[in-house]
Amino acid sequence: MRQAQGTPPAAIGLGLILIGALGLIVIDAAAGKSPLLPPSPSMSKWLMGLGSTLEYHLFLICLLIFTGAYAGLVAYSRRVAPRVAIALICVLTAMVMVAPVLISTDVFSYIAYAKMVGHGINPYVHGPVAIFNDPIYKYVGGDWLTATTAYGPLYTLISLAAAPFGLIASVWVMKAEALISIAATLAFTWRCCRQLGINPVPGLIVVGANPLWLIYGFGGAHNDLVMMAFVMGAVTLMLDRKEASAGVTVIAGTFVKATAVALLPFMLVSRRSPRLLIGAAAAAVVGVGLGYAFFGAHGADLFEVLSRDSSYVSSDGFPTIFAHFLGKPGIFPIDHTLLKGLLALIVLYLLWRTWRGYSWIAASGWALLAIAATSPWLLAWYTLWGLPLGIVSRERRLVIAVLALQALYIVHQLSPLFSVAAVKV
Amino acid sequence: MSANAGHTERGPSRWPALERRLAALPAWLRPREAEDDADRAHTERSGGRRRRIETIVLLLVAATLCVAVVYDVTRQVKVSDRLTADIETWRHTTGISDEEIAVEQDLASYSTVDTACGNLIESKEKVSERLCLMLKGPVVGGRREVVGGFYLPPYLPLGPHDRYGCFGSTVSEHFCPWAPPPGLPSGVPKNYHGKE
Repeated sequence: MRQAQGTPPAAIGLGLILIGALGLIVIDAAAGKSPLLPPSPSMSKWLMGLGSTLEYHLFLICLLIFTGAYAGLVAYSRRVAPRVAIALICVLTAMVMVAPVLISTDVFSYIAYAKMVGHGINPYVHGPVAIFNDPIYKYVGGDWLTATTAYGPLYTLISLAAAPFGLIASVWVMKAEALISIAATLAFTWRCCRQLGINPVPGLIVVGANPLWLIYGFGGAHNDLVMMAFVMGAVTLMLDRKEASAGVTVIAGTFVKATAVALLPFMLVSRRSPRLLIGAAAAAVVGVGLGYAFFGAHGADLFEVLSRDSSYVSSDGFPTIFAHFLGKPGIFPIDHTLLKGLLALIVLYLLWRTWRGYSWIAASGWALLAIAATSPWLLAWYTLWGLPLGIVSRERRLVIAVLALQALYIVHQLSPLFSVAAVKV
Repeated sequence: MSANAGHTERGPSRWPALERRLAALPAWLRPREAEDDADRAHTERSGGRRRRIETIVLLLVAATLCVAVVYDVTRQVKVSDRLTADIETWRHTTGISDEEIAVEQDLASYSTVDTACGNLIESKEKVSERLCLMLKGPVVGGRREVVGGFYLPPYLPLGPHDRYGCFGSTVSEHFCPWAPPPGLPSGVPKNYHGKE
């Protein structure tokens, strides 16, 4: 109670604004039939009737208010009492937990892949169209009906937890999985901060109250949250000098989503530890073996998926935005090659810096940020990857860079606010 | 906050044979445990300069991305307003307030000539023939100029072989390979004032 009294009233006010703005989004989302909601089974019936349909304008205004309050709270974060910060993050996270699935259909793809395994169909060979009679099928995004899973075999096995359940229960299982991942990531971030003598409260607020983390990442129950739990678990183990376990954990994260492998070269260059190498190699052998045993050769080949996904293009990707700025209609195959070359140069520079004593955690965070920034296929939750690493490494420039990239992403969403189109149609 | 969190993150290296070999490397190539190891004065000088250069590069990238994002938002607003004007023009030209008008942009040559197609019968239950209008030019009074158009039979997507009843610019561009099928609507829409 004494700690709570130490929190500046302005910070408490900003926290209440966060709760209010998010509450409006959640309550209106529960009313259904919004362009921001994917077709979804009715999940939040107890909230229905409290709000009206979530319109694009209202969502964007709430997102802006939330982001503004978040920026203010981050500025105050050193003076916020730990209990207040924890309570705020718990409330915000609980609000998104009870909301319907927001913005993305990906969670229905995750469930569909799990149910395919339940039906004895290999999701690394067939797309969700193979189970078109299953009730989940009609909720899978139109672009992904024939797409095989892009995720690692460990994630496919984890998501099997949702397979035995009915439609709505399976979505709740996936949301619970994302919730546990959030709790784990924040707990690991907190522990790393404590171990390094950093005040953990700013880190908790910067990550846990982040608008893209909460509304886009957790709102869609994205598996990037599961990957981040493994990533921060690996960082924690490295700080505990448990290199073998850290190697196992980072590879386990890679078998959730291949992006996590970006940490490994920086860990190896920094520590040059045989235990780390042996742990990672053993985990890779086990992971590939498991993938092969359950899903055949396609399940063991993470790089096939990376190669496929790197050819996708989204309108929110910074390369696409930059191409428009240069007067081009979009990006072309040669641009993909140039971007890969640029990313390789950045990673090589970061490896050299790590070799010469730069923080491997910060270098990993920069690498993850560079992957997101140079990816033609950018989704909001990709911008989260570097954030906890920036906090733990005490690299202020990385935290600012991630938040700036997120701010630009949000600004890029705002065109409906300035257009007559959304008003008239 | 400092980027130089190396000391607290690192443990002792545990591969002595490798470390002995690495220690034999020239100083500029040797791995460091932290950025402020070795010659402190020299490192602070070069490290500070490198950090400044990195920060300047980051700021330049950020400034470029800021300008590009603002430009793209402006571009999106213009495209949205143009597509809204296309829909409004279709409704005005036909006198039909169909809610399911689809507008296709010219993604082949990236011109601003759009094709707006809507149902000729306002009923969600009944499948209808579709009228497509070609629109170009600036938005004036919330609408754009109709330069031509064609019809599509029911059940078919916007395919080049299914077009019939061309009028305006689509005639000279040979958009309609065949004569109108008997019994299907064709002709110029009631508020069309362009060339036939």
